[in-house]
Amino acid sequence: MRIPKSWVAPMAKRIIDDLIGRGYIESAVPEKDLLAAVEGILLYELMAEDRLNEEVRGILQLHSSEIEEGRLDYRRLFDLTKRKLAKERNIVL
Amino acid sequence: MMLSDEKVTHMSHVLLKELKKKGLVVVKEDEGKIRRQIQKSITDELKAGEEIEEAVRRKIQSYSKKIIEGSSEWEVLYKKFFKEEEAKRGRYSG
Repeated sequence: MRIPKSWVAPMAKRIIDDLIGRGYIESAVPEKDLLAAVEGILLYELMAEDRLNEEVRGILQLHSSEIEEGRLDYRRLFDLTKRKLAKERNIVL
Repeated sequence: MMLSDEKVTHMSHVLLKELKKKGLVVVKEDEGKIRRQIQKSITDELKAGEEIEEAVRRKIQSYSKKIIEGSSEWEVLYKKFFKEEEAKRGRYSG
């Protein structure tokens, strides 16, 4: 994740406080439930890149012998595969 | 900044969409305006976090003894000072 996980709770709180404070939204559930939901949604989005990295590592594992023999460059393959999957799935990194 | 503008914009779209889909909020304003506010709140919070981080790093560097970043001593001090700095600034920490 590009930001520390501990930053997600204050980020969620600020979003809710700002939106409710300005009268842009009203909470339809107890505020602690809304806060937990916003934290969950933000965290899932922020971890999109981690999930993709994990998947790419798994894919490249299948080619580990060629990579170890130096016939393929791991870093380059990793970046290319990651970019390709992100584009196909509309994942914003 | 630690997140790209594109990512922040994307997060604002996903967040509002999900909150509406789950029936967690009643929307009272134009959705474009709400998304722009979400982007601003995220950006403000990232800046606040970066400022706290910078203050903590300066505090650790001010020690007369050299503490190597990444060492267990550095990590302990970093966490301690980060919490202190958050409390000082009244930042919600969950």
